[in-house]
Amino acid sequence: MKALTTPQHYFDQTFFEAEKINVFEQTWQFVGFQFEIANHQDFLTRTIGNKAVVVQNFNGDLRAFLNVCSHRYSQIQDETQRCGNRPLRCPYHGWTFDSTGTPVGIPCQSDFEDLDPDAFKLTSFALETCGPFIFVRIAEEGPSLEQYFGDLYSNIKAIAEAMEDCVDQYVVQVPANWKLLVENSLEGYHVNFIHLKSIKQYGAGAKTDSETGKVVGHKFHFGFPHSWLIDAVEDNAFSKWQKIEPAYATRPFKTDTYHQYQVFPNLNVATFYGSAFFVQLFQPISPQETLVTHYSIRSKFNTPSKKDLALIHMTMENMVNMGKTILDEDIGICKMVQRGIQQNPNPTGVLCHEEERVYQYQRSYLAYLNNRQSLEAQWS
Amino acid sequence: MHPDEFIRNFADAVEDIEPGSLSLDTNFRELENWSSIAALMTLAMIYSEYSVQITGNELETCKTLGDLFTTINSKVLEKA
Repeated sequence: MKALTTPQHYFDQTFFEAEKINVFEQTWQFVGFQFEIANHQDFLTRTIGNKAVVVQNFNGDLRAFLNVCSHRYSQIQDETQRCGNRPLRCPYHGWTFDSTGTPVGIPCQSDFEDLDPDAFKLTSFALETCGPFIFVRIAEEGPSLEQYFGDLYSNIKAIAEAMEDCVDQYVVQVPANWKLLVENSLEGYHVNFIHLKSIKQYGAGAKTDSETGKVVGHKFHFGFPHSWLIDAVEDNAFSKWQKIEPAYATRPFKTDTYHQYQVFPNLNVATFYGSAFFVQLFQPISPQETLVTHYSIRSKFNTPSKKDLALIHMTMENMVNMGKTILDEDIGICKMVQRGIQQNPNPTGVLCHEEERVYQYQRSYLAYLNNRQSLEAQWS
Repeated sequence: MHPDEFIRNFADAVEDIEPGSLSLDTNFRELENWSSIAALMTLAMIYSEYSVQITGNELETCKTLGDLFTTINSKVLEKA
């Protein structure tokens, strides 16, 4: 298979500007978890495409707005704070907005001539939740979250509903294009080289038939524009899991396999056996810089046993450390790819069957970039 | 915290070991049943029975059950 994207897609400012509008502003974007903004007046700020977005909790009701005051255009919540707690009030002249985005507290309102507050509503964006996941869509028109997820929806919903809370959040700025990091997460071809001492131990990566030497068992699934992998874990790792599985007997998302979901364009959700969940978000900062957020999420469970609780606690800690190690290994190689791709003499690369998810990802990306997504959806 | 009780708890965590075959001088890494999962079970046992947390790196520095017992004991005393 020939790669569909060119090296320019990974460093050129023109492509970067186009993808902000055609990819990020058109798709449902994960912005955070409900447990990050659980209280009244909690907020989080994000940039989606070219839009500064604030998601605000109004007595449990979550709303998304353009984070710009309709009076004199100051940002309302400080975007250097990724989250915080304060009313949706502009720091400049104190205009305060309600859950519909209408200014309801305007200092010295009588000093304005014929001011109609409804004419100064904040620009609002579609917001939907799936379990604790919060998604925002910038485009006015578009599919519902369930329609956008398609065949992925039932599994993501089951995983989301099994999540208890976030035990660790690891945020790191990486000098590499965001798509390099996503594509890296979609193939097991690199695992034998990059993750030999980490995730390989759990059975991830390309597997070969011991007799023929051929790569076997691609458990890939595609539902435009997303893809996912559900795969068995190597016997050695699985027998270890079987020893601790009884402690997790009450976990809601029960599986004896590894699941990894790519929610187009920049969100990954993974789990080993449903014991814990790992969520990675790749947010573009510039053509050559990405902000990576790695969440380690504990599963719900219901066990009164002190011994089981201790085992779950220690296993989670191991998994958190393992997740960071894997991410650091991936970041290391993606930095090297970014440096290399700018000097690539070949217009396109080549992909093996193990990299089919990368190929399909590039297809999805180009469909959105070139506004062909409805046509691509019909093909799949 | 008594050494005999600690040895019984250790044997219970690692499984298939007779507590009588262990002492504080035992190099637990040389036990036939010692593995990464046994290490995890041991860390969980310590957390559960003694309400202190030993990290993987701290476990790495212990060679004998006596070393581990001392490490736990000092954490228990620190906490008290």
